Amino acid sequence: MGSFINPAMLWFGLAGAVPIIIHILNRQRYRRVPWAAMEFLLRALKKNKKRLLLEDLIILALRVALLVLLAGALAQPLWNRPALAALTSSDTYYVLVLDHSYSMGYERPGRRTPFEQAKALATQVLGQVEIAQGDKLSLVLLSDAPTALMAEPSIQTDLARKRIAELTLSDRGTSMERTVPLVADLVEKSTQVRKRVIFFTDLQRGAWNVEESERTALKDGLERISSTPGASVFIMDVGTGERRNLAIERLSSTSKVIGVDKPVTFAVQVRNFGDEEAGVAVTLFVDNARQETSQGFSVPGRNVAVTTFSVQFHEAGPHVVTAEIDADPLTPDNKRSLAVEAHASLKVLLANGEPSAETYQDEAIYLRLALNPFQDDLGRDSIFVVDTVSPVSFPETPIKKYDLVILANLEMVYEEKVAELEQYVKSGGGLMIWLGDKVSQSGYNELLWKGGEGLLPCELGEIAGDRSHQQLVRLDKPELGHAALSFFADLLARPLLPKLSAYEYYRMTADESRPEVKVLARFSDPAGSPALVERRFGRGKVILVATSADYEWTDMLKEPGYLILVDQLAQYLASQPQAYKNVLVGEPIEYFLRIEEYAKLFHLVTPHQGITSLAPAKVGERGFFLSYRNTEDSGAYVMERPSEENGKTELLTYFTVNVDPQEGDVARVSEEELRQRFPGFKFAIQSDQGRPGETVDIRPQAGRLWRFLAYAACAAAVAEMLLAAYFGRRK
Amino acid sequence: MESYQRYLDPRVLNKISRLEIKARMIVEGFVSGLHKSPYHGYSVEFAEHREYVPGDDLRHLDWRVLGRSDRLYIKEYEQETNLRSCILLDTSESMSYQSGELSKYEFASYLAASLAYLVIHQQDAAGLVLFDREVSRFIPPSSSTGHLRNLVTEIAAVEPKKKGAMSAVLHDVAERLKKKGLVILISDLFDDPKEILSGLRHFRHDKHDVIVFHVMDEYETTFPFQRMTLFEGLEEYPELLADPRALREQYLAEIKEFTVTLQRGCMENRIDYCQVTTDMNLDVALSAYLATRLGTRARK
Repeated sequence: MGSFINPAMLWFGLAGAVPIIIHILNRQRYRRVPWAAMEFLLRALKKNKKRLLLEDLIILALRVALLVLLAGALAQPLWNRPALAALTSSDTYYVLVLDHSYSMGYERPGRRTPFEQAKALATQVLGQVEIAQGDKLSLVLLSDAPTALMAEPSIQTDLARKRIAELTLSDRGTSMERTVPLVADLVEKSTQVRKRVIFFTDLQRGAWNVEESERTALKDGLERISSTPGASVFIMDVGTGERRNLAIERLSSTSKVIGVDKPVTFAVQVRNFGDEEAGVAVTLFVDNARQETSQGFSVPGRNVAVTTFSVQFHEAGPHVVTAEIDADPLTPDNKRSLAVEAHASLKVLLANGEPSAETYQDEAIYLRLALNPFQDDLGRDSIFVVDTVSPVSFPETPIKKYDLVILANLEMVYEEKVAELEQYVKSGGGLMIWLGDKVSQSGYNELLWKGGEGLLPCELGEIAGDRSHQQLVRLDKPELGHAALSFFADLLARPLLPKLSAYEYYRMTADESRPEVKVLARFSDPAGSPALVERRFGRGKVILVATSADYEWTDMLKEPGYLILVDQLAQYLASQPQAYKNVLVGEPIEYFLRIEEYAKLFHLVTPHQGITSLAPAKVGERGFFLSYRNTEDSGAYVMERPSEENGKTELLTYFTVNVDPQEGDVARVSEEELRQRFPGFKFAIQSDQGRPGETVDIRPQAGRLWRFLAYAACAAAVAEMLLAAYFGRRK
Repeated sequence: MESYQRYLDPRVLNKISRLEIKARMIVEGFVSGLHKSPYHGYSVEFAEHREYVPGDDLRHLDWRVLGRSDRLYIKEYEQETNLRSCILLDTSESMSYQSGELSKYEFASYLAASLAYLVIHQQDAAGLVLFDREVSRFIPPSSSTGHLRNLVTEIAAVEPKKKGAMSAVLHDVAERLKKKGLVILISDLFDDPKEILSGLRHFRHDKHDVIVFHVMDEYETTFPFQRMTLFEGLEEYPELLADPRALREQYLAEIKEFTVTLQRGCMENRIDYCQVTTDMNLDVALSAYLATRLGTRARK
């Protein structure tokens, strides 16, 4: 038996009573005639009574049947197909949702991968689409960037078959959260009477967010599909049921700034998604040259292990560091790359607000020492090259060529210099400001604070603290998660910061509701006055220190933490953020050009050696930038500038595109969990653990009878006309 | 004379109120169309002379014999001069049915009156029997001119109301007619054909010549009804609600079978059968009568 698509139309079935009513009414409307030859009439009636009754009944039955069948056709009943296959029409919209995230490439010897199995099953399902019966189909790729390969309901099964055959695995992750709403839209838009949504997926647990209890777009989407009339969902589970997999989860450098010929440490974090402990060795490549293979180490089940490599870059400029582990069932997450920049040196302009012949009176001497502690000692050199200028010569010193500018107790910055500084920071420069007794509070507020528009992260208040230098306030509540202070997050380094203390400082109030302003550390005074405040300004950064860099206001110079703090802040401010060069699959690559880098056209070499030409686009005041969105393949992308003179290309920078390591977790979600998490989601699940040759039938069990009923109604109408004419002729 | 012919059309005739005049009009109209006068053609056949006795109609005096021999002789005519016609007119309720201008009874009464006129003007004797389930009026045949008025008055006075039953009536009338003659039956014959034929055979057995005018209404022979109709039966028949289209075929078959049975029965018994419908001109019926009348003479 079946159900009705428009059950309300069944009420029209009552129209079946109309012919009966008309028949009865007709019997009420007659003319009277006196009749003499009654004997003959009665005899005629007696002889014809049965035939007449039969004819009347036949005509009446046909008329009733006509209306009832018509109402039935309008109600569009669904009927069990095998029982009435010949009478029903299918009229179904198939949405094939094929998971092509990289977890679908899970390999097992002698077996098809889930992806191959999904393709085979999808092709099989295509064989069941009956275009002649009014079926249509759409093809959607399931990933964290779902794509409708065939969005409009199509009748081109051959094209779909071709598309499926041509499909390759992506380096994408899986997001049901993004895919399901797209599918729900298609299903809701469809005018087809029945909808079959078929997911071919490995049912990765992470994609379904079953732990979440909130209402999500996924939950909404699934319920939307299930509540669409005539829709049903099949999940073809092609997962392997295994979860053994190792992945490089993280590759990072411990230094913010990488100097040429200076040792830099890279940490490689390997995650074991499997249940059992697994041994692994990591090989590190720099610019595609094998550097070193770590000793084998073991990673406990469902846990991580970290190994480190020390690397020296001998050339300044962009480099790519790649870590790789041995082959396992899932390969895309066995490799991870990182684009870095090695600097020969970082130039620092130090504006000394209180120069003095007396070493310990000089404001800048400690800062300079902190930035380059090895100077003149055994040839070891810091990455920082510091130029110190007096307040007098600072205004004349061009600052563009410096990676970092430090203002140390500088009384005043003149208006022209402020504009130059703003432009400098806006285009990516770093600015560190130390205060002190020389500083003109009102001048700073007027020209550098500018009511919040200027470079200062916050307005300078009164000088606070103990002028008698008896009471110290310590650095407190440091933001150890912030890149500038991340060094101190280490357990060994953590005690260093609280030992830094000051007698006097500017009391400031930071408006942390502004996204560009961030308090990195406070003083331990009762008010918790900000001690280190960062402000992002354009593409650059400013850090304001509320106290002085010398002994005048502080006691911190004698602490080793001072050197490290200055070094870390300088590294942070001078470094260009590298995160934008290292993105996940699908995230865009964007690169702001420096003036000297400008060209009309650039080349981007993708991991599979494809070359794409990119033209820079201008974006407001931020300058020119290059953008590339089609980062579907993981690996290193090389941005090159073709030389107009000799036809050669010049390396501009590297980008790396890495897979989302979470996709490597092939743990599966169970049917029970799905039903529990999404109670409004009705689906049938069919497990197919890569068994080849098995067929699957997802054809609608219920066929539409309406066409048959409509034909039957027509037949009844024709029969009624013919019989009425035939009976009438005899009359 | 030509204008008389239009009175053969019952629709025209209906406008004339007095039946006697109608009868005259009909017959004159009919006669005017004939080449030979029926008055002097067939019926006035000379047989012999006899001497005049007082009381004889002077019209039958043979003037030529008187002129030649100065003796009074009356011309004697053949038997038909003494033909005794008896008109049996059905006055049962079924005769009142009317779909057009005339009811069957009106038509029958014109026919009867005309025949009486014709008969009496042919010097024959005409009698009249009015009947329904029994004989309601029996006027023995007479040939006097005043007799015609009696007949016509009787015919015109009847209103058909009662149920009819022919068989008994026919036997009854047969018993009453002592002398053989011509029996003219004008009826719709709505009764059992066997019974009717049995009655008619009774006449034949008594050596009567019989002519049957079977009067039917046009609708009774065509049954042209279309809509759902409640047929109200005359002569105590029940009502019947029916779709006439569904019954037409069988009804017409029944009617045909009925008339064929009668026709065949009449033929077998050497009875003249003439079916007339109320929309017909009356000359058809009158011609049939004259043919029979001639036949009657020929058989002698």
